[in-house]
Amino acid sequence: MIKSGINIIERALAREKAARKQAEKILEDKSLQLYNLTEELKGANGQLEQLLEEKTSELEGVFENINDAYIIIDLNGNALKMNDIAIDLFEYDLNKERFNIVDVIYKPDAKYAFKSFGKLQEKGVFTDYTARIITKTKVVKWVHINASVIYNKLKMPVGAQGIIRDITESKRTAELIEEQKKELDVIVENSSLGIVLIKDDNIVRTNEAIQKLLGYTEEELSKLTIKDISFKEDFSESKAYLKKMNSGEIEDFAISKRYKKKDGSVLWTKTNVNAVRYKSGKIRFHVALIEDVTSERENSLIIDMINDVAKAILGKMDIHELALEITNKIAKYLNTDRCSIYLVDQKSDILEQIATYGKKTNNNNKVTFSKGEGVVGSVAKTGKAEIVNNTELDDRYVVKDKKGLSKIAVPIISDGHVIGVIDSEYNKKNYYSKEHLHTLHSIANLVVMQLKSAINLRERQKAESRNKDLLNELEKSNEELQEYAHIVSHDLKSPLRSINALVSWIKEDTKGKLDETSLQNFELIESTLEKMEQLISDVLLYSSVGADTNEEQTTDLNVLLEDLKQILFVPEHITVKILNPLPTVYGDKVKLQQLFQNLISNAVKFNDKEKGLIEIDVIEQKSYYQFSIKDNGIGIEKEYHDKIFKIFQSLNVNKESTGVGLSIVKKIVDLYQGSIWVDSVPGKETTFYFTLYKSKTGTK
Amino acid sequence: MKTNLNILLIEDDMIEVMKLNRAISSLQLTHKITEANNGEEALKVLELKDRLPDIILLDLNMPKINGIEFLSILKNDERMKYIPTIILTTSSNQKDLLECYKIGIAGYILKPLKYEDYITKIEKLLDYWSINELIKA
Repeated sequence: MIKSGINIIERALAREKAARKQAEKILEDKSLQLYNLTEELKGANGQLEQLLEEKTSELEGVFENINDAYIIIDLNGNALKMNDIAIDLFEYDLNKERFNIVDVIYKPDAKYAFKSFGKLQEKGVFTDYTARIITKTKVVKWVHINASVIYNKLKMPVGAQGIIRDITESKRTAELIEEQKKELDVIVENSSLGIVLIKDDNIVRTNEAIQKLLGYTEEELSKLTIKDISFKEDFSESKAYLKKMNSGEIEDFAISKRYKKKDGSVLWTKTNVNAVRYKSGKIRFHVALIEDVTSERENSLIIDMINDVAKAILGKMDIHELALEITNKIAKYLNTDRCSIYLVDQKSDILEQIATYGKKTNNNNKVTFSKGEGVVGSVAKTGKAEIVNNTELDDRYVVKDKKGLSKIAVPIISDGHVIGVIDSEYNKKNYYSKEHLHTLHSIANLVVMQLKSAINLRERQKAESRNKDLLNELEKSNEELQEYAHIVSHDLKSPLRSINALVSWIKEDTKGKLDETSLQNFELIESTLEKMEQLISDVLLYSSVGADTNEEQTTDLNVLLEDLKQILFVPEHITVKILNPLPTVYGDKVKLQQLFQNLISNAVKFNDKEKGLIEIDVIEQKSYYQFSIKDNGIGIEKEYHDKIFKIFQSLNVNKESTGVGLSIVKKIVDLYQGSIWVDSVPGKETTFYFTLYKSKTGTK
Repeated sequence: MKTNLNILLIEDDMIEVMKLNRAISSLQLTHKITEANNGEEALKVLELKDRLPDIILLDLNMPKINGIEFLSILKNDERMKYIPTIILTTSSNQKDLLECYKIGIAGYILKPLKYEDYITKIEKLLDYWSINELIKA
């Protein structure tokens, strides 16, 4: 704006100067002519005065066409002639009063005025006299005067003429411009924006701000080109804009641009480029306004990164994937290729690297630290984040992967426990800042929940897979055991059968030859064999409970008990009563039958009363049934109440008791996740209680 | 009219063999018994003979080829698969029982502890098969 304003004024000035020169020339010629004539006439006669008048009026016509003030003076400075503009300028009217040029000399400029006047007399001409005048009404004006001496035919000076221009206005404008320029310079110099004036890529001028930002002096910068301080990667974008600017398509553009500082670091900026053009439209300068956005960018980078991390880890439950995402994002933010996440195994206090930038950690390249070992281990121990500016000076530093010169390590803390450590390294000293630390803290806080649940998940999966393996193993070994039990029972029973056959044959073959005692002993052998076989059968049965259970099956216990009454041998003097209708329950019919059968036959077996009574009852509870089998038999001492359910813990030496029966009962109740207990008054009565769930218990 | 049966007994236990022989003689029956100590031997016997047995009494727990394996071979043979085979075993294993019926058997008898019970069972078994119509190859 200012430049173009100046241009206009300059052009107008030049135009007018030319016009005035021309007018002066005309005037000079004419006035010389006039003066000579006047002198001639003066010397001749007064008649000629008339002619002067005519010539004057002739001249007046010329005066009228001059835009500037015109004045003719004699050698003493008295005005002889002046045009209307001169009258306006000096405010003296020659027609009404006398006017001497000295009257208007402004006192402070008097010396300059007389000197110039002397110069005029000496040289016959002066140009570009610029000084102040004071008018009749005491107004000070700036004037510009070109003057020349008028000579007569004898080459004697007779007077002088001058063209005076009132330059008060333009002088003020110029001052104003100067003032504005100064103001502008102040603005430019004090601007926090960097300002660079560029001509054909060369840096022409810079302000203090950009010098400070880049760390160069003004002189250093003036020797550089804009390319010297730019990054190659940014060229193409600038180039496209500059092309548009050159073609006149755009006047300015704004880009995000990096500059190289003197120390090699990066200045992130928002740069506005404006074009200053020649009249022809050709570009004279580029003006770049450069705003430092490094910290702004870093802040937004942090926010972006934290957002990125939050987004990236959302929904990820695999701990390695999760950690990998986090390391990738952090590495990008820290502009390094070294970032890892370690998890603390709470049992062993070992830190295990679960992810490192660019790759998932697997068992082959697993890096571990024990708590307290190295910087990472130390951070895990103290729970305090650390920056190591020079690892060479830190005794704790241990190289496990690659050596780095700077290091940052931030703990991931959950409920006061360090569950992991985020760690990054860089190949230069003093790389990490407080700001980095804050950012990593934020990330650590952000990921702790997700990480924690991922850890839990991993633990659960481990446990589940372990359980699954165990279950498979158990199933297999159960099957094997089952097979084994059958084989053993076969192998044990076979000799019993053989002994029995052989005894029978001896008895047959020696019929009538053996005495009573021998026969009794043979009978004892036979009953012993029977007991032995029963024992083997019971053990086999006990080991079979839990195998081949049909969990979908429902059994009506009323039907079951009716069947059981047919099978069981109940002596005449014992009555079995079912007090209430029994429910239908989930469970394998064979096993449930075994359960009731063993309990009832026990009640029968151990009844010593004249009139035996066995009562079977059920009480319905919210989620289960409680069954009871009560007898009025011999009873069980309190101290044996637990023991009786253990295998081979028969309390009585009884021909029919193998000590396995109640163990089988207990095992079946356990299988259906019920409970069993006993109540008894020794010598009087015993009640066995057991519970069965109403719904399926999910046994296998 | 009772038939005299041609019986193949596959049994590794010597006393068991003696038991069957003694049972038959004490029952005064005239069935003909051929003995084989295991599945392999039984297969040899079956191959050599031009006349197949009327019934087979098979023990399950045997060394080398066990009862179930033998049964499978038997039932896969075009010629021998028609021979009624009765399992005579100690194993009350449900799995064995199911497997045998699946492959194809004509009976499954548990060996009792008492010899008298054994005689009763054998008598009934042989009585039953004596009144059956048999394939005379």
